[in-house]
Amino acid sequence: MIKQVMRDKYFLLLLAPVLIYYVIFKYVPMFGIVISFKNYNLFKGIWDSEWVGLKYYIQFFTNPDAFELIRNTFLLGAYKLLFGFPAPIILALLLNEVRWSIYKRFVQTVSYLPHFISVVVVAGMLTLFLSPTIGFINDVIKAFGFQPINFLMEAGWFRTIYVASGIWQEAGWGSIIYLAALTTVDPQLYEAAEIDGAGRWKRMLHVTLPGIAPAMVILLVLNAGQILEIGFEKVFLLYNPATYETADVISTYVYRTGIVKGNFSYGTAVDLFMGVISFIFVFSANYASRRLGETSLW
Amino acid sequence: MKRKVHLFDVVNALLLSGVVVATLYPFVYMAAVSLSASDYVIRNEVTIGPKGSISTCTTWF
Repeated sequence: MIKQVMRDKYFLLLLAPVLIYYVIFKYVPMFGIVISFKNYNLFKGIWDSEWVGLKYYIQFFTNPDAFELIRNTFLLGAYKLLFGFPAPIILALLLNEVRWSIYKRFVQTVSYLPHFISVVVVAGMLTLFLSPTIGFINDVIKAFGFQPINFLMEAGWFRTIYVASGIWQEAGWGSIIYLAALTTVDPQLYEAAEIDGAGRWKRMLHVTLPGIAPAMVILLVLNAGQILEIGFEKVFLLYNPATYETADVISTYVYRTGIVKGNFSYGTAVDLFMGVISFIFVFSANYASRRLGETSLW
Repeated sequence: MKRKVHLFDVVNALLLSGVVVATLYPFVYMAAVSLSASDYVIRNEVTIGPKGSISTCTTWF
């Protein structure tokens, strides 16, 4: 053992920052979970607060908002996965078919751009563009003779805005992985398929797609795990009391009740519940991909 | 073997031009808004280029 450590000391040194990061920022804070089983009092501290068992979990499940929160979180994540996952694949496949390489590189570069602006700026831009008075999207709607829509104040539009802006921001960046996977496809396979009389569509279906399938599976597993971990910032920046009905997700609810209102124990209980569900999602997505195909994360 | 330009190539190029416009226009628009005189922005007259001459933009420099 010690011999092995001595032999691999430089590798272990390289690994150390990652391990330390996870221990300090992920594992140590996990001890805070204990306050979800206690009636946490800021002045008594974690150890001296009295135990209350599952009180806060029961409080959450008997709360009429609980169902709506879980549904919103799940639906937002599901739509994001459903529409956001194929978008970079389609973009990569279209880019792959472009023969004029300057044009291809130009489109690629431009589509990466939105990835580099922060969520706060994106939310600000969305507020400006979707504004019923000065937003250009409403200008277009007005030009066709329809009534302007106050997108950010209508609950029915929230999921569309969230998912569409997510695709706008991340599709180009996401396509990098697929384009990289596409370069590993053997050109001989294309030639063979062409000689066998396969058209463009058939070549895409039988050569390109199987070529990038492993990358797709791994990204699908990773994305499925995040289905409930809806980015807090973006929802927080785009929602308002008028759209809580569809926009309020677990993380924003935890923030409002746990931190703003100071119910630390209750907030922790809700968040831990979400973590457990999230874990089940990653685990089952990985299990499914191992069963269906050969690739899986572990 | 000489390849001719298929209909798909044209459609594909148009689709990707759509992607370019959709990603680039918000940037151009934000740049134009940030460089325009504020009364043009409020009156919603900014489209592609900045509006308002430099002399009216007291916030410049």
